Amino acid sequence: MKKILLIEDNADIRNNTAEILELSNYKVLTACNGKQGLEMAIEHKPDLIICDIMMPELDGYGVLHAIQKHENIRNTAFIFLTAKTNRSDFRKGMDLGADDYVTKPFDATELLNAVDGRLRKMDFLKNELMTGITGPGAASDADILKDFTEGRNSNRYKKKQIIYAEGNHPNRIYYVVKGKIKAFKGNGDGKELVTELFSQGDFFGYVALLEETPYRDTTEALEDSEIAIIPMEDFTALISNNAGIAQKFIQLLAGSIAAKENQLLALAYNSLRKKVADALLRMQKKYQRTKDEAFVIDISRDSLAAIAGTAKESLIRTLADFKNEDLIGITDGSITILNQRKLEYLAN
Amino acid sequence: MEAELQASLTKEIELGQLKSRFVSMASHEFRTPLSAILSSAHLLEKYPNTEDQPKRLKHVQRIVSSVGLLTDILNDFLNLGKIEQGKIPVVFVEFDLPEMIQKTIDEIKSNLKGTQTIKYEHEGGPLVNLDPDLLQHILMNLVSNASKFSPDDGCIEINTIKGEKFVTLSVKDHGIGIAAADQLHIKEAFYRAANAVNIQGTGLGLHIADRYSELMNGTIKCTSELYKGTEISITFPAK
Repeated sequence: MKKILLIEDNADIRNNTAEILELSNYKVLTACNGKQGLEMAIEHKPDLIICDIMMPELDGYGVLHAIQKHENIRNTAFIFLTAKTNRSDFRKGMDLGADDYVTKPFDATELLNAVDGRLRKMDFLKNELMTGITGPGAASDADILKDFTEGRNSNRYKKKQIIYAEGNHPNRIYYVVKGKIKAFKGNGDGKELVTELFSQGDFFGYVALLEETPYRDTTEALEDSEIAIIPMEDFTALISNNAGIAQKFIQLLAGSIAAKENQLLALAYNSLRKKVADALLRMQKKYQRTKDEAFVIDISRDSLAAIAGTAKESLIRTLADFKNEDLIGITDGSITILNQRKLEYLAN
Repeated sequence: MEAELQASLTKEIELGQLKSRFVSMASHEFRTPLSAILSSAHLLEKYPNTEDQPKRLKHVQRIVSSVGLLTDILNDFLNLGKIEQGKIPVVFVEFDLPEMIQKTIDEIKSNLKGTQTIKYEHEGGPLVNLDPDLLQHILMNLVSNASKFSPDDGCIEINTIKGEKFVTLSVKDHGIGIAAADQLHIKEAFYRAANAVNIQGTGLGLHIADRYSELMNGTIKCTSELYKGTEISITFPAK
């Protein structure tokens, strides 16, 4: 049985309204002023609140305002039942977020229809949300993402193999099961700039999909990698049905924008030494799995130069300088970071 | 001539304002009793069986009392009209003041909120020379206000003093009080104090009490403090 809280200071109206609602099989709680009403709303979490506006202690506007500040009950359906009939009063009530506004003297059918309509809509919304967020078995967002990526078709890409190229049309998103991927933009003369690096557990290719435009960058495997393919329809369905997941992708997008802004600033103003130190540290941060793991950077000098945003020759010269200063070690072309602190100092 | 025209113009404007204030007050104050009548009528329809008679009676009672409320509002306004037109007859007679007050208290006791009580004290001789009908009306308005703005368990104190030169009537409550800024205006017709707008009322009760007092050469005085209470006292010359 649906629970309705009725807040009304006039005893006759309160009793009659409660009686009308009870005859229509609602469970009715009553309060005779705004303050008491608010307390009861918090305690009993009704499905719907019917509230007068002009009341002593706390008026109806105050009740609605306070209810919306309360996490647990802010989504309760709210109907004003009032003698205030001016258009400006009506607008004020609706602008505050009321679901309906019934004026006195009211017809019982009119009120019952308003109540029924609101409750049905709330049920509908609740069902949608339930299937969306919790789904079967009340899984958390992390579990949903895991289910979502596991058991997908995955492709293996060899080192230097292109995954998608700038200008292609997106119809899927990618999830790194294993390996290292770089995203870059070329300027047409063979010069390229690495815009982002992806490692195990990262999604990529979703920006173009969300934007519904061709890819604006090219992705290439930095080493042999395994990539799960998620069809566009699955991704769109997940995003639109699941507020939590959608939020996660919004966070990813926001984070990526912030990182790119920093990168832009660094490219524009950082010295060569700073750019190279920064590129090395970014590689380490992205790809070193645990702190104790021996970490080597073994990607090509071309790629590294593209990550640092500098010419390959300048990169090689700077790496040689770093080696002479014992900041890094180079064995067979693979780079090991020797003096982490000094490198960080350089980069900052 | 011009001064005369100016005066009647001012009077006309005042009346116009009064009318529009009545319309906006009535459109609001009428809605609550009308809602009660309409919803009780709807509910009466829901009880077709004889065994529901107590419920039917309850709703009939509600309709009757709501109509009474509407009539009161209308009467207040009609009285206001009569006052404005100078059509209220004043008949000074000698009567027993404590007896009349006690009778009025017995009449209005049933209209008090919750467990409110009335305490009445009189000083001096019983006989006064005033218009008992007007005085009763004043007292009813003042007590109704005191009750409305007091808590459910409040005590309303009525005092009358028959002195050598003056007769005083005072009604004191321990309710929400009236702010100093509002005290300047509460005697105006339709005026509602800021802390009273959410409490039902027409804003006519005290105005009518004031005008009736004037007719008997009395002056009304308001002593009040927010949250502490209000005392309205009226002093009439003792003839």
